[in-house]
Amino acid sequence: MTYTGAACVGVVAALVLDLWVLRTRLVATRQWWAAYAIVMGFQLLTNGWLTGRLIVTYDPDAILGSGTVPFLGDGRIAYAPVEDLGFGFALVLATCALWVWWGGRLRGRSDLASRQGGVGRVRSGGTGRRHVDERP
Amino acid sequence: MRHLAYAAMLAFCLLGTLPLNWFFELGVLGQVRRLVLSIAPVFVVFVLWDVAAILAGHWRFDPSQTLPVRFWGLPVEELGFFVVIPLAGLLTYEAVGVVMARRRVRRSRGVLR
Repeated sequence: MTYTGAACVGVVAALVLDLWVLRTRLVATRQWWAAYAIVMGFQLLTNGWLTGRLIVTYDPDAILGSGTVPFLGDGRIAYAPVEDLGFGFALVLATCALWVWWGGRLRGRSDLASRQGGVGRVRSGGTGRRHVDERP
Repeated sequence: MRHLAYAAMLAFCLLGTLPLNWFFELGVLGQVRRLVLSIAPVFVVFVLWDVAAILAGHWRFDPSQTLPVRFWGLPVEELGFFVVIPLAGLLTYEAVGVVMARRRVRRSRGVLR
């Protein structure tokens, strides 16, 4: 499989994890997309450093672009192959989905009622509560 | 100094995001158990992906711009990457949550007045 194919699989796998496995549904929230917009901005900056300086180099056969490393074009954004955006999206979405999911479960086990309302719920984006309610 | 080029990028990410934990009183770094449970599975999967990609020749790292310590062909920075970036993402996500919650409170107060 090429990196292009692997990146697509990564994105789909992260979406499946978020929507159907953990059912955290972060991609249905404004909080996720606002956070991801910030993360993506900094990814373009820091990944541009890694790829523009040729700290990481890619096999032209594995990516959409050819062997050149332009700032924009030839399958590249800020020097990095567009596939890296899929890679980063999957990495951060999977982590955040797990974080929210564990937030619900760990809270359900330790300090039950006290955190269901106020600040704790707001801080986890409101997504942890469902899992608390599911517990017997 | 050239060997630190990749490590410098990780340091930049940490310097930019760790302060969010205290600035917005997120309490993320205090939840060690939850952090480990959230980051470890992602770390394992992405390191496996990375090792497979290197074996398949999808990408490679410049030895002159990375530290000489390698694990399964990965520079040590690359292992750090899969801890630093998920952590930076979590801190950003939680900080955005706090900012949005504060805005909601401010807006609802505005309505009450």
